[in-house]
This record gives sequence, structure tokens and C-alpha cells, in this order.
Amino acid sequence: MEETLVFDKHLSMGIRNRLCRIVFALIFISLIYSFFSNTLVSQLKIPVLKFPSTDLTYWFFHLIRLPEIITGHPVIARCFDGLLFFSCLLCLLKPEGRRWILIFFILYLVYFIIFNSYGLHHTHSKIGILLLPVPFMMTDEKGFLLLWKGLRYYTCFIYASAFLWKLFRGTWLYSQQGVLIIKRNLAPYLYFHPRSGLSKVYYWLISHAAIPDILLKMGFILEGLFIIGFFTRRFDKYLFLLAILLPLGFLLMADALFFELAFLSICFYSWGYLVSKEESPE
Amino acid sequence: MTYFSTLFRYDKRIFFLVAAFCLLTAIANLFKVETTPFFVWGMYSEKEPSDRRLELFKITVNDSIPVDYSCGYPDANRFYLLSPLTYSRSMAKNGGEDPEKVFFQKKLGRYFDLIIPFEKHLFNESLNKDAFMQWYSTYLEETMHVPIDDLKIELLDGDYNDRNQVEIYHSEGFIQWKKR
Repeated sequence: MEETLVFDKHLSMGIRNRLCRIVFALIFISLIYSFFSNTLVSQLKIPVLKFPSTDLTYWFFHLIRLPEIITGHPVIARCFDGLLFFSCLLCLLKPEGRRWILIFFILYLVYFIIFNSYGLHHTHSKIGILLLPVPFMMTDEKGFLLLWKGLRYYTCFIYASAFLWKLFRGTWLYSQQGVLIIKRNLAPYLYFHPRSGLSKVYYWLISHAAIPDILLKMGFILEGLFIIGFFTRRFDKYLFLLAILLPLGFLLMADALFFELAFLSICFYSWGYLVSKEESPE
Repeated sequence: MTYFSTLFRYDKRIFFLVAAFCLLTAIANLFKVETTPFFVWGMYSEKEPSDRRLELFKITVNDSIPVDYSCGYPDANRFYLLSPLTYSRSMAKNGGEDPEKVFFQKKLGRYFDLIIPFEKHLFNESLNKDAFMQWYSTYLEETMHVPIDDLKIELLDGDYNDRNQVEIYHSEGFIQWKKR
């Protein structure tokens, strides 16, 4: 099993606050990205179609009509957006203020439901932001450390389960999977930009189906490497890089930007930092 | 297990919350039914069908400006430009009915009656193309910073040709909308 690290002795409150600042700085960047993407609640312009699908949490929110109330009134929507930014900024500036972290978490959960429900597809990219504030809500240092460690395990689970899904569904044996993902997801780009340099790269990839197949299999193996993370923190610096690299792979192969998911890589960065501190002679 | 025992010693309530989270996530994965925050991380593990034809949208604003939703906009913006169109297309294919409602009717059978009192909160009412296009044009205006008086959406049916390029075989009008 995992080697024993007296982690609670080494993660001082200063590091908790520093991590909190890094996390909320990243979240703030993602909110600015949402603003420039026209996907803040007030920018959705009172959407008319919703998609709670089979998710009972979405059912609950729609049954109490919260998404409808917030998106349906421009003033409420603007106040909601303002509060989302304001609470994030407060968490960034005053990381010790747990009440604001809880408020931000609740607001972001509502935003998450609204974004996915009115976007008519339940995307996974914003889950990283939904989960990252959770450990900082703990009242004491040890509770924070335990949940931060738990979040690290959960990040390992995300990629390890993606590996297992591909393993058990046999997708890794299907040589056309990579090229078919490119063909499906890149079709609009190739239609609109048939002569661009990037299109030529994709034409080449499509005509050499073995290359996307190798890339997909590499991604599959890299996802599997996260299983190691359940047993040791020794390789956290590599898992940190992989947690950034894999979303880049999704971007290349599937034209899907999962950059918020890459934020979870910070769980590996902080543990790697602690391990190196522990192993250093000073 | 060391982690859980430490958690149990630290605070039993937190332990039960984390353990319940893990258990429900495992159940969600077992049945492949996602309920926030118990997520299923399939990540392109479903086998891609090889015989699927391409269906693309062609959006034209004010009779002359084509909307290139494939690039030039942030990813989340592109998601909002495309996904509602895809869903409204599914509704149109379904005779204007919400495909989710039809899915639940099939899955639940006679038990569907239990959710009938809540259906207007859970499913979309029949597709009102005018209301949808009114919203879509407003959202597109916000994105493109161009006043929109006329919006035309066509469906392009195509496939990859021998040179691996996208070739359109057929196009049909999906929705045409004019500002009143």
C-alpha cells in the first residue's frame, strides 16, 4: 500500500491558503473565459430548451424551478453572475474565509446545472471546478488535508475509470476508434476550412488511420497509469504532467477543450511538492 | 484503506459522507446512470459507429453572413451555438416532441404516469420553432455583435470522400426566421 507520509505535519496552514489562492485564481480565469464565451447566466439570454435528462439532481433543480427563475429574469441573472465573480474573488483574497467558499460552491453548482441543462448536453469539463473548492470548506487543517488527499484520489479515479471503461468495452481493440472520433468531431472544421494548414494535418491523420489509433492507445495507457496514484505519491510529478497532457490530447483528437479538468492536476503538484520536501535533506 | 481509517478516526460524519460518495459513484458507474455529483467518466469509450453519415448545420445571418461555428469562438461558445441546434433537430425528427420524454415513456411504461404532474418541469413542451429561433438569434447577436433580422439554418448531409475530404451530398432547409 501507499507509503506512510506524515502529510499533516508538512502541509502547514500557509500552504493551505497558498493552494486556496492558486485554486481560486484558476477558477477566476475560467469565469473570465466563461464571460468571453458568452456563457455566463446573464449572457444565455433566457434560453427556451432544457435538458435535465436522467440526472436526478437536475430534476430536483428544475422541479424547484431555480434554473428557470435565475435565467428567466435578466436582473436576477446579472446579480447571480456578479455574486459568482464576487464570491470567487473573495475566496482568492481571503482564503481563510470558509463561508465564502461554501457560498461559491453552491453558486457554482447552480451555474454548472444551468450551463449543462440549457446547453442541452451534460459536459464534464466544469466538474474540476465544482470539486476543487470542497476541501477548503473544512474548518480545520486536518480535515482539509484529508479531503485534499481524497480529491487527489478522485482525480486518479477519473482517468483510471476512463481506462477501465475502454478496457472493458473493448474500445482499445477497435483500430478505427481514433480515426472515427476525428472524423466525427472535426467534420465542421474540415467543412468550413478545407484548405487550412490544420485541415491538411487532419487529412493526413485520417488517411493514416494507424496514427490516430496509436495516439488513442497511448492515451488509453496514460489513463491507466493513474492507477499507480492509488498506491504511491512517488510519481505525482508525472501524473501532474499527464493530467495536463490528456486534456490536450482530447483537444487534438476530439476538438473538445477540457481545460477546467486540467485544473485538477494541482492535486498532484501539491503532493509532489510535499514529497520532495520530505525527501530533501534540509 | 489507510485513508478511510484515518478519515474514520478524524470525523465519522465526514467518513460516512466520503464513503457514501464513493459507493454511489461506484453504483452510478455500474449502471452507467449519472446523477450529479456521482459522475461516470467514459471519455470516448463508446465504440464509434463506422457507418454514420455526417450531418452539419449551415447558418446564414441576414441572407449573406455565414456563421463559422467550427472555430474563431471559444469552445464553450461553440457548444452553445451548436448543441441547441442539434437538440432542436432531434425534437423536429421526433415530431416536435422532446426525445427525453419519449425515452422515459418507453423506459417507465405505465409508471410514467407518476411523473406526469411534473412533466412540464422536466421535459420541453412541443418544439416551438419561432420561440426557439427568437432565443437563438438573440444569443447569436450577443456572440457575433451583429443585429440579426433574418436567420436561415440548413441541414447538410454528407460524408468523407475518397480523398478524406468532407463532401456534401444534400442540403435541406431546417428553419428560416425573420424578425417581426
